[in-house]
Amino acid sequence: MQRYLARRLIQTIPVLLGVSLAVFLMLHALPVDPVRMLAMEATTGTAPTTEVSDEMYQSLRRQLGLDRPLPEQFVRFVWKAVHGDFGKSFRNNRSVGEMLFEQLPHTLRLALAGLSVMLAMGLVLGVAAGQRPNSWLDTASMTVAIFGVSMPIFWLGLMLLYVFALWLNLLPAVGTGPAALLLPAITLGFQGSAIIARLTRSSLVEVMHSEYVRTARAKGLRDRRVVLRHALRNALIPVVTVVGLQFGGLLSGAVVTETVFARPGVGRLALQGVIERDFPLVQGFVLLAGVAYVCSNLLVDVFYAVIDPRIRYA
Amino acid sequence: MARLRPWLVLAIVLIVTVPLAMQESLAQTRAPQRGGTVAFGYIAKPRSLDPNVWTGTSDNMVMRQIYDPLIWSPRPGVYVAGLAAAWQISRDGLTYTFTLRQDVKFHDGTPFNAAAVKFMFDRIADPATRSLQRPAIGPFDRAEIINEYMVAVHLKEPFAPFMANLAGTALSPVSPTAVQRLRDQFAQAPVGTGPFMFEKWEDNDLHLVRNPDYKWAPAFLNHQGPAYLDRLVWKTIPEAVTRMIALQKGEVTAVHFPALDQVAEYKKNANFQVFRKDTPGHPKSMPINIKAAPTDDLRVRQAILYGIDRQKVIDLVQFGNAEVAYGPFTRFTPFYNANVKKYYPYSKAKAVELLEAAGWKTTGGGVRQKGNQRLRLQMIGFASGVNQQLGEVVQAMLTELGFEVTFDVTGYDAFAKRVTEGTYNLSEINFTGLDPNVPAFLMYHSSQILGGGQFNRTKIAEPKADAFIDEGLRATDLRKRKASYEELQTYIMENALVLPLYDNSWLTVARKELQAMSFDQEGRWLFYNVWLQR
Repeated sequence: MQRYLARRLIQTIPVLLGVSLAVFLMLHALPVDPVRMLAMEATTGTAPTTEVSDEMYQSLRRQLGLDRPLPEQFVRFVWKAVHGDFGKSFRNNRSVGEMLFEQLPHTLRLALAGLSVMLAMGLVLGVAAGQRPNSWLDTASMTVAIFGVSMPIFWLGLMLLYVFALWLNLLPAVGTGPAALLLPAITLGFQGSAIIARLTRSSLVEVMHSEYVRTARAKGLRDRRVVLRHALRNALIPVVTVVGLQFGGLLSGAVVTETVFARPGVGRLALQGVIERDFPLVQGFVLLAGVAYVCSNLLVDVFYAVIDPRIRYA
Repeated sequence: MARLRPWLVLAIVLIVTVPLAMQESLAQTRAPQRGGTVAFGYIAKPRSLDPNVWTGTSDNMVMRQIYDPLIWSPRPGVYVAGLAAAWQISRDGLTYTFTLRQDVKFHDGTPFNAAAVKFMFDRIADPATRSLQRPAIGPFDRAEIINEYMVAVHLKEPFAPFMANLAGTALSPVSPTAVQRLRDQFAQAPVGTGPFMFEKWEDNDLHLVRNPDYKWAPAFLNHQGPAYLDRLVWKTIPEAVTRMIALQKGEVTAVHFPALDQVAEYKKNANFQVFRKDTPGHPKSMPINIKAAPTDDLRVRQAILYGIDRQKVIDLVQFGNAEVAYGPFTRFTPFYNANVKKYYPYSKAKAVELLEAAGWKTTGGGVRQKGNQRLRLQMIGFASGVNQQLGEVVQAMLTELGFEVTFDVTGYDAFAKRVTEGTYNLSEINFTGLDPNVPAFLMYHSSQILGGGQFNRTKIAEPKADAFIDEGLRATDLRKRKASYEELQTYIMENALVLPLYDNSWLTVARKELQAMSFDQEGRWLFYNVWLQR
């Protein structure tokens, strides 16, 4: 197991390099000049910064390191990143690493809360539906699931705000306390929960027809024990895979959720970085997201072995 | 000099203060109450609070509370003492000598003096600072300390907008000690002289507290001494609908950039107040390219100006929250020429008449033609704010007049490329600034067609217009500036170079307990005056 983990961790290096290179190329391929954006932004001040002279424009480019050839820029970025330096934001000269790690705990908290909502709702609905296919419970659960899959996160968030924060006045609209986490967590987890519910249902329906379930029933075990101990455990394998994949969805969902609920977090920071073409910030975020994604997938693999004893890593 | 006798001092104090106090009590029926926190729902997290280096729109709003300018501008073109108690401009317009207040301290306790002012100018001028505010000091040569509280700024050539720039946020003195100590971190922990001091960041919320030592408020504000409020909290709430919900629930006291479609409802609701501050500068407009057919024909341009129902544009796009613009400067810009109002009142009949006279005929209301040439217009805009909706409404109105209109909305860079190529008839512009020099120069000077930010989108290259602009830039004689800017406005409208749509404004919606909201000339809040009714 340890050797397996070590091997997997080494494998992440080319993945992260690839991701960084792809993002680097994409950012530079955009027909947008961050130096000009920087100057443009301040046009509404008293000073017409659009009058930025060519000389100043060039010196700004030099200082941001954007005058170097692309390969050199990339190698520099990687070299620094390896040493834990993600560069400085074009916008306010702050260390990108510092900016990201300052916001990361907020996003992690939100992602974990969203994940909990996703799993709780998804499994409950899925098991309820899968146990008795074609019953009214099944129909109801799957209706909720379809609702969840088709509802844009943005819209769901605003509706929850209107209902629970404004009309019923039960929860705060903005803030960072535990009560203010509830609506964002539901918003973030709802879509994933719908997917998990549907998957759990179909997986469970299939397993319920298998021989060992029939055996368990024949032994005279109670229904609940059959489902939870025997059937669900096997039905969960594909579900765990999807949860791992959904983690990426949680991160991108966090961008929207953090914006709607005015929460701090890396998602919103990255969004701002994209809008402002703050290259170091976007690159830093992508690298972070890459690491998170790789780690979540690794966790999923480890988890397979936990739920299914037949799976072994050597 | 004989020493003043105590009774004389008392008499003078009474003579001066009693009428003032009476005036005050007449003007304000309710006495301001001290204390309380105002939480503000704001669209973006302030990024950098270093005024000398960077001013994004969203950051300026905050910096107004933390810093004081050397000179304030309470009304367009009027300048009064700020941190500089007095100033003198040499006859040649090259030397500005400031006599500073002697009782001012930065938030970190260090004294404000001539050295601090020199530090500010040198800092902006130093290329190593990478200041985006370099243009604000124009042809700056050097700053010279005359004595502890007197400083002279020497320019290489006259620079009329200098006064307006001094009144903005960019040229606000910062604590030299703090800058040297904090370096790059200064922008996150600013130290100025203003009525509110930086306290802390709490996640994305910025906390400012009252400066207890503040006693250098400009005379035009409603009181002296420290601000009324204990604390200001800038809450970052990027989504407009969420901002409005937070306002309704009282989680914030006021919001900026309200959801426009909701403003009318808030106006009717007695629990809320809506503030609109129209700003100086160039209105939201569509510059008309005079080098591209068919808008190279004056009659076609005039037809466009007559044919657009601007009030309807405002109703549709801004939900009625703006004032119609008639010329290249907004009503609150210094040297605004009110005569522009007589040009081009909405008249579809007049527009049709002009198009017919220009040879563009139609049979049965379709696209107008001259021979087998169709009356085509290309509109360009960049995706930001209301630009798309605005363009669509204008497009629809032009179509009704018999134009065949294409409208391309793109990102800024693609837009800028079209501007450079000149492949358009109508484009987009707006600009907020205290002095008309900026929009006049950027948008109508021949040097700006391909130079600078390529803001001359009308492509006008006319020595006469250039002369008005140059005169307005250099003349320190106010009458001369006024005359040249008034003529410039007439020239622009007679030649129908631009389709002005509406004056820019900032909207703020606040709960009713917020009292004495006031604004600077550029529409930024001055929380110094504000107090909470409890």
